[in-house]
Amino acid sequence: MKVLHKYILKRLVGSFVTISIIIFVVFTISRMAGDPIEAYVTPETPPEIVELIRKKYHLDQPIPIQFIYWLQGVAEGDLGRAFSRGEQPVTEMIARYLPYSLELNIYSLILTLPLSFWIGTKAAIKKDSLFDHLTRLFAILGRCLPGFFTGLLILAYLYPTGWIVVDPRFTFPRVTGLPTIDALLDRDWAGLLEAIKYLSGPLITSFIGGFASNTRILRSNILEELSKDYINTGKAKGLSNDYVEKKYARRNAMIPFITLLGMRFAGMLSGSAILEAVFNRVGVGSISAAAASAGDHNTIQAFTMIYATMLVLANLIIDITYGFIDPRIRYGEEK
Amino acid sequence: MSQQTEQQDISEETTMDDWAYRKQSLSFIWYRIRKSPLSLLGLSVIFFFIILGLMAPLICPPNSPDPYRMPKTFSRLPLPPSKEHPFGTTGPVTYGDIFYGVIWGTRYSLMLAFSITGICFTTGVIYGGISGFYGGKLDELMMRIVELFYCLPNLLVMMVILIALGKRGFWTMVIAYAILAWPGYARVVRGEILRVKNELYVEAAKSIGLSDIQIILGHILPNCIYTVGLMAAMRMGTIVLSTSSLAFLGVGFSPGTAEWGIIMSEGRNWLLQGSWWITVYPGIFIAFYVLGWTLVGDALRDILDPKERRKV
Repeated sequence: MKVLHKYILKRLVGSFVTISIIIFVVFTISRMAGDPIEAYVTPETPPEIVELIRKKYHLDQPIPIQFIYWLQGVAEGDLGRAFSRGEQPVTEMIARYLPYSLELNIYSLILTLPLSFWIGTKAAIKKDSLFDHLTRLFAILGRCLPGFFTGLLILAYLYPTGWIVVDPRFTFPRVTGLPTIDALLDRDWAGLLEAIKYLSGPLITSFIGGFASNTRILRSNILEELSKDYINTGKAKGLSNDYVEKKYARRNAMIPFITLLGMRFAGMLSGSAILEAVFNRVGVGSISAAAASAGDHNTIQAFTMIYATMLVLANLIIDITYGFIDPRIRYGEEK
Repeated sequence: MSQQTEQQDISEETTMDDWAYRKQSLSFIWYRIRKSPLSLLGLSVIFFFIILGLMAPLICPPNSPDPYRMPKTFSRLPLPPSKEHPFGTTGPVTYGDIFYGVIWGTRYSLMLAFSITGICFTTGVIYGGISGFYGGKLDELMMRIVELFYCLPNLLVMMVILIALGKRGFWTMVIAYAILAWPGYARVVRGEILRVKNELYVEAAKSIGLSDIQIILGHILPNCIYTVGLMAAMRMGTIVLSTSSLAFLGVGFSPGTAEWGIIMSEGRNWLLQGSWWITVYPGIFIAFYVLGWTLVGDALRDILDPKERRKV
């Protein structure tokens, strides 16, 4: 276990360094994308006042020093103000919009995973059957249709029926920030229906894409496992086909799948920008996209930091759990 | 028959000179492609798009200095498909002809995909090659840098780079995309080189005193280029998916450009009013384009997989 502790510590330090470098790089790039002072002044502002503002926000210092001031702010829980959204504090903005994106992505995962698991395994076991061919056809279609195209088609078909709402009015109080949960907590059934209608469009779209790619990956992972020798050994010693397929093959096929899932979850938060744009949904994706096109430095940095932290932590957790799941992975200590 | 070729392949491997062997394995790949209907379908789809891209000036002769601008037909509402405008027009604000946009969009997308893949491929091979071949501390450092790229929120950083680069347009997009995409190639190349590096023939090449460059170019790269080529083929489709998504979000290209995503982003405003053609035609083009590369990529992966090869 001592090796494990040392490993975790090493990885934690490494993750911290990675996150810091990423934030610094993005900080520098976004400073190159435009002078932040432009956000606070107009061409008519007298030069003395421009200088004062520069001093106030430490914009007269070199970039590394500015970076340290920014870090100091982060440590105090202050991520600066988002000038692309009327000087709103970035921390407040994240607290407000992150739940919307989480809601979409969590529901999408809950719906996608069990289904793609079940269908992916079934298709692999019955390779080259009609079921398998249909699954593959669907998986390829889901992969080739761009998310915004399926989204737009769904919008065009379902919006006139009233099953999709793009401008909801929620009357229930905000507790967790996730509309469906808040409505449940308030026992506001009409509000719940509204929240579901608000969610359904992006959810269906994200389900189609996610289901297609997960099924595809699981199917090929399981096929690969099924061709290995231990499957034959298991069958030879008299275990039922069903047992070998479900307990042996599926478990081993899951290992590379989990890695992918961790990365995808972090990726989904930024990827939902497109779904949010199609369905006019609020969330971190559209906010960060808007911030990036407006050159809103504080917001860009905050989102990059959150994203990088989430991804690095997800990878860290996955790597550590691997040690528990798979005894063969010894964290490269053997090398 | 194929069993026989395969056996010959193995027995003659030692006596045959390098290029003859390579030629034989290429003809083997071609043989497998011919035998699989899906990969043939994929190849013909890609072929169709390339022809369409090459013929764009003949199909839709441009009448402005920049052929990637859609010609305008002014109207209050988007015009539905008609004889004059086979796929309709986008209506206000750009008034573009969609048939023209989609055809020249094919050329635009292909050029984007080839330029980005070319740049990433070259950078990846050089970077990954150095990292994998020399190993040690240098490799460690170079791979840490690559890992940094994996932790970036792609969409957001791409938008920031696009804005930092200033001008909207083709090369801005190519550079912004390539900056984020090359590490994938570098990683794969490095992995392949690590695999090949300790083979006996590399030892042999070293022992007869060839220089590092000669060994890398002449003996290591030719043996791992298939895997990288496969990756490139699979990325050719996704590049267009991503760039058109960016265009849909309104980043990278200016409105009125003959690019599939841009046209679709205009269609969004009209879709609920019944003007489906603005969205549907470019969407179908994207879907088929990606389908072609996906099918070819999948087929190549199966063919190049050594485990699959043995089964033939």
